[in-house]
Amino acid sequence: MNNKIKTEQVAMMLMLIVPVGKYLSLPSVLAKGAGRDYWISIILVFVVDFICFLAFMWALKLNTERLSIKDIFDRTIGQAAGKILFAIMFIYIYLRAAVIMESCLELFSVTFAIKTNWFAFIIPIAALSMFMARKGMNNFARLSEMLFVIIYLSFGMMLFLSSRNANFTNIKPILDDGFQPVLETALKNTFWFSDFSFMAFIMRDYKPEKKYALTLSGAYIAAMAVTVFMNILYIALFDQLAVQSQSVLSKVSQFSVKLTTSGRVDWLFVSIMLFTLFIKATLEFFCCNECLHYIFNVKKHKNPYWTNIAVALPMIIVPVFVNVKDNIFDLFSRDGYGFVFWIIQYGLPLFSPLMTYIANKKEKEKVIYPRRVEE
Amino acid sequence: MKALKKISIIIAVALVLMLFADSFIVTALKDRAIVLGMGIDYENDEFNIICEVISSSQSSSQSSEGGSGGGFTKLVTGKGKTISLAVYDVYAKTGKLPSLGQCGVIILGESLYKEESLVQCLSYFLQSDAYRDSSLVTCCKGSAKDLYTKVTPLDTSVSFAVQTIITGSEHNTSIPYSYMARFISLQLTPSASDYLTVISFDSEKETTGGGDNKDTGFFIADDVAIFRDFKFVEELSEDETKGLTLLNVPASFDTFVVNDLEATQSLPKTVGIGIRSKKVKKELNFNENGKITYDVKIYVRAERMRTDTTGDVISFIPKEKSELTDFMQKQLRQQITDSVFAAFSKLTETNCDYLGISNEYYRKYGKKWVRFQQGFENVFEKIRFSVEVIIDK
Repeated sequence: MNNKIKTEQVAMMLMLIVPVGKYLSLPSVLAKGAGRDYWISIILVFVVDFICFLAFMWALKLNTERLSIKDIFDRTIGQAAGKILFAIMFIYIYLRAAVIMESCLELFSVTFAIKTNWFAFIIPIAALSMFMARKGMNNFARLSEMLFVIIYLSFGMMLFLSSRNANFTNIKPILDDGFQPVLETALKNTFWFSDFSFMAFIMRDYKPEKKYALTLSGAYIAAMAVTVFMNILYIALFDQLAVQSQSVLSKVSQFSVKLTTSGRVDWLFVSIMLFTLFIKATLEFFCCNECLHYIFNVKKHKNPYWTNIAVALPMIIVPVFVNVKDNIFDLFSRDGYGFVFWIIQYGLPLFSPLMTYIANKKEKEKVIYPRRVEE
Repeated sequence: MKALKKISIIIAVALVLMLFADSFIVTALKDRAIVLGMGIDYENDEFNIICEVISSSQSSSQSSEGGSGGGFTKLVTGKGKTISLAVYDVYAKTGKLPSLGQCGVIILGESLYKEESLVQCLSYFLQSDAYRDSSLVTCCKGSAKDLYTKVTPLDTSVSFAVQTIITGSEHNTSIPYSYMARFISLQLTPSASDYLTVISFDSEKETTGGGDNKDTGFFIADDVAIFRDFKFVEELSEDETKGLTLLNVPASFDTFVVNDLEATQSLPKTVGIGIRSKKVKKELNFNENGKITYDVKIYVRAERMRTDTTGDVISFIPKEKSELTDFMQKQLRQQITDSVFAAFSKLTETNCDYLGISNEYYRKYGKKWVRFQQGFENVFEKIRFSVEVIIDK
C-alpha cells in the first residue's frame, strides 16, 4: 500500500479544516472586539498566515531527503531546543483541540436540542481519535479525500441558501471606528489561526509533486476566501446581533429555510459539517500524539498506547472540573496572550526553509561521507 | 491471538455503548410537543401563549384548552411572567416538552404589541440557539389566541396558513414582512425602527358538515404596523404600505388601476396594471450645514394584467415595447409617486424610520451622520425627498 500523501489530499485537508473551526464561537468573540469590521481582522491574520504558509511550502521543496520535523530540529537547533518547541506546539494544538471538542458538543446540543453528558460525548470521540492517531496521517488524507465533495456541497448549499436572506450592506460603513480596533482584534486572536501547522507532521510522508505550490496555495487561498465570505454572511444576516451567537454555524444554517413548511434541511447541513469538526479535532489529537513521541524519544514504529492515553485522558476529565472553553477564550482572545505561541505559528514556518536547507545539507554530507571512505 | 484482540475490542466497544447509551437525554417523540407556531398575548402582567403543536391523534381537532386546531394539530396554552415561564407552563400542563425548533411563526396579539415593548418577549427566542432566528414575527388584530381558533377552508394549520399568506404575499400581493433576527437587529441600528405584518381574519360564518359552528374564513395580511425602539408606533394606510413596498421590497408584485382613453370598443377603459420588474436607485447626500437630500429613482416594467399574470416579479426579462400608452404611464407614475411620498410623510410625521433611511445615511457617512442626527429631535423633517419614476425604459 502506498502510504505517501498526495498534494490533492493535503489541499483537501486544508480546505476542510481552515473554515469550519472559525464558524463556531469565534465570530462573536471577534465581533465584540472589532464590530462589523471583524472580517477585516480575519483577512489581516490570514495575510500573515499565508506568508508563513508560502515559507513552509518552500521548506517542503527543500526537504529533498524527506526528513521529519524532528530530524530537522535535531540537525539545526539541537535536541533540547527542539523538545522545548515540541512542548509549546503540543500545548498550542492541545488547547485548540480541547475548544473544538467542546464546541462540537455545543453545536450538537443546540442544533438538535439533545442534551448529553460530557463523558458520553467525548469517550467515543477520544476512542476514534486514538484509532486515527495510530493509523497515521495518511488516514486523515484519505478521509478528507472521501468526504470532501459531500462536505463542500453541503457547505455551499448552506451558504447559498442563507445568503438569499442576507443584507450585505450591513458590512458598511467599513472601518467607521478606525483601524485600531481591527488591528487589535487581529493581534489578540492569532491563536485561532495558522491551521496549516499540521503540515509540520507530514514532512517525511509528503513529497512535493509537480505544481504542488500552485495547488496548495490555491487551496489555502480558497479556504481563506470561504472563511472570509462566511463571516461577511454572518454579519449580513445578524448585523448588530453578531456578538451574541455561541454557535454561528447553527445560527447561519437556520436561514437556509425560511418556512417550517419546508422542513429543516439545515439540520442535514449541520450534521455533515460536524464531520469536518471531527476531522479537525482528531487531526489535532494526532499532532499532539506526535509531539509526545518526539518529546519522549518514542520510535515511530513503536507508537505506544500510553501517549494516546496521555493525550486523551486530560481531554476527557478536565472539562468536567474546569470551564476549559471560556478560560481558553478569555486567555487567548480577551487578554491577548496568544502571542506566546507566535514562535510556533509564525517563527517556525518563517525559519523552516533555512532550517530545512541546513538539515538536508547535513544529511547529504552524512550519506556522502562513508562513500568517500570506501573509495 | 489476532482474533482474540478483535473480539476484545468488540466487547470493549459494546460495554462502552451500554454504559453510555442512557446518557443521551433523548426525549422520545411522543414526549415532545412539536410547536409549529405560537401566539402571544399579554394580560394582567402575564404572557399568555398558545402553541399549535403536532398531534398524532386522529380524533376531532378539539384541544385540551378548548381551542381548535387543524387535522394534525392541537392547541395548548400556558401563562407566566416571562415567555420562558409560559413555555414551561405548557410543559407542566401537558407533560410534553415544547420543542420550538420547528416553530415558524410568532403571532403577537394586540394586547402585547400595542401596549408593551417587544424586547422582553422576543429576546427569549433570540437567546435560544435552537430557535430559528429566521422565523416570522407578525402581529394580529385582536387576540392571538382567538386567531388560532379560526379555520380556513384550504389549510389544515393556522401557523402554516399564516406563513404561506405572509411570505407568499411578498412576491404576489405586495406585503412586506420581517423575521425575528432582522426585526431585533434593526431596533439596535441608527434607524431603531422596523415594521411587522398585521394579520386579520375575514370571517365567513358557516356550519361545517359535522354540525360544529366554526369561524371559517381567510387570513388577510394587508396591514403593516411600524415600531420604534421595540414599541408600536402606528399602522400604515394602504397608500403608505404601497410606498414602503415600492421602496424596500425588491421582488414584490404590485397592482395599480389606470384609465385607458385610447381603448377601442373591445378593450376595457379601466385597466389593471401589474409590475413585472422593479429597480430602485437611491442617491443620498448630506452635509453638516444641514442640506440633506434623498433622491429616489424607481425603474418599473409594467404590463396589463391578464389571465396569465402570475404575480411573479422576474429579473432579466427581455426588452419589449411598452403596453401602456403615454396617458396610462402618466397615471401610473403619479400613483407611484403619491404612494412613495405618503410613505415619506408618515416617516416624517411619526419620526419612525421604518424605511431604514437613517441606516442608509449611516452606511454612507458613518458616525458623522449619527452625530448629526443626535442634534435633532426629528431629523427627517430636514430631508428633502424627491421621487422620479421611469416606466418601461
